Amino acid sequence: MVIKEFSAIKFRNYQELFLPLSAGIYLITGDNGQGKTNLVEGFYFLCHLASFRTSRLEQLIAFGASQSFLQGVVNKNDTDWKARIEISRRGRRVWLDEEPVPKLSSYISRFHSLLFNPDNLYNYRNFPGERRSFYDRVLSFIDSDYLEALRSFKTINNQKNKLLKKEDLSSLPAWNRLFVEKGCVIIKKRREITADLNNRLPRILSNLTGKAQQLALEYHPSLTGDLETDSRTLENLIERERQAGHALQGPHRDEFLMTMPAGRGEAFFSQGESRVTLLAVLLALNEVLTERMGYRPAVILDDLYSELDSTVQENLTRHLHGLANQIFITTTHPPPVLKHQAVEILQIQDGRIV
Amino acid sequence: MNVPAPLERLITELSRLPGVGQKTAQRLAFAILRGDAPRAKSLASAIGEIKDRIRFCKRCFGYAEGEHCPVCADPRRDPSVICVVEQPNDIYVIERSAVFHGLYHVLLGVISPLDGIGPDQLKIAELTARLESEKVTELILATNPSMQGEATALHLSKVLEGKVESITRLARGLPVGANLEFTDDVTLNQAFTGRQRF
Repeated sequence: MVIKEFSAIKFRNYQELFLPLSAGIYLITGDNGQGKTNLVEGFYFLCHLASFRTSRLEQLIAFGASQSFLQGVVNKNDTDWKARIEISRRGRRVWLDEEPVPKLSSYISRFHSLLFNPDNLYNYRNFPGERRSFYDRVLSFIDSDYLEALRSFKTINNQKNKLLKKEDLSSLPAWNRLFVEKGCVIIKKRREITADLNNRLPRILSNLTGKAQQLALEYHPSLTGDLETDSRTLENLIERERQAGHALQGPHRDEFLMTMPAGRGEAFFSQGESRVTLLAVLLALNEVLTERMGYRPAVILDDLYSELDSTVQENLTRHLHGLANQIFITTTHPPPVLKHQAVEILQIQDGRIV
Repeated sequence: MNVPAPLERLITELSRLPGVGQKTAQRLAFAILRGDAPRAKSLASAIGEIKDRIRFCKRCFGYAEGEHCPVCADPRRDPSVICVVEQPNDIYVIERSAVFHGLYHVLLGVISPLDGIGPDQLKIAELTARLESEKVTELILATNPSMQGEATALHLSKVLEGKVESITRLARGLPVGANLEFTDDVTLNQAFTGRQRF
């Protein structure tokens, strides 16, 4: 997938931008506060109709304007799609090839990008829930059964939690049955993607660090994923769950952990290690997505090079050059290694490309 | 809006109806005003009567004018099969297809703790009583395929187990006349899971 054209009107600090693009690596550079992240946020919005920084649309609209417009030509599997997005305080309106798109979910399931960003690194590192949603997002995108199971599960879990605060628990067995049914689908598919990623992670991490290294993604489901066993577990849990007033076990409590050998878990990773391991996961997901979806997602790497030593910077750059994705990198200080590589440089100054 | 008070009131009342916005309400109100007086009176009395004369059927909780609804009162219906639905209007959807010849039982809702609705608020005790007093061999659960509808169906199948010979659930899958190409993945998946021998 390649964004071939991108234009933004009154989006963040961009008054009017038209940018022809092609496949390959783009290095977006400039001083702080000039609009590097705003630009990749625009690319991200073009794919997902959402920002990775805010859920409040009004923050995306340039100061003093009432609407912003994003427009792009996206090529996927040799077909050009012309997308137009209008953002106002009231919401988003989308046109694809000049036709209005009534169901935004049909648009969102069309294009994909992979994002690395310091905020989501921090969240991934510190919050188990963020790690679950990280994998949920990818799985929901590549597998519609997963999306359906996850949505249904959320409804069931909300209903169950409300029920556990009530007197009459007679319908609890029915809710538990649905809880386990959907839960098993979720656990099975989370296991599958974990195994798939683990086949790729050591190779990619060794590539990035330049030394043979083990890295494992560990998935610890809070139930077993076996319908009968889990049904019995929940039956035995009813009294404790009633006292707690919420569901104690289930996919909403599952854990994803990263470990390096000798049992060194994520809590003991250095800043740089955290960064490089999440990058490895992202690059592994890129392979998974490409295989499963049949096209390469756009890769957005925001503030990529900070905290990485020069060896990793160099190896990472070499690895990225080996990929056929369209890649956008933002950085204040391009590392020396990039100076000799074939990259397009976009110098940003005050919402303009100079 | 600067309209006489009685007209304003009618517009407000009409706009409370489902699917009727401010503009449609205005159009309806003006049409009623332009039409002749007997027509308007007849509409008003029809609206008034509906609340006075329609009640729930004593047996199945569908809509009835007397004690029993037209379906329960019809001697040609097969009393050995009961189809359980969420709301009275579901009956008319099934009746339109003319595929079902048994009787109905309306739950008047679905189990949904988030909306404060538990099994006690539904007509489940009444259904149990019917299974004991009437000769019923099959119960068809036709609640919606939403999570609430599923939970209700599961709950019923658990509490009514052994009280009736067979309990069945409506099949889910491809709509007739649909094109495979345009079927969403979830429906397709259920159609595959629920496939039947040719």
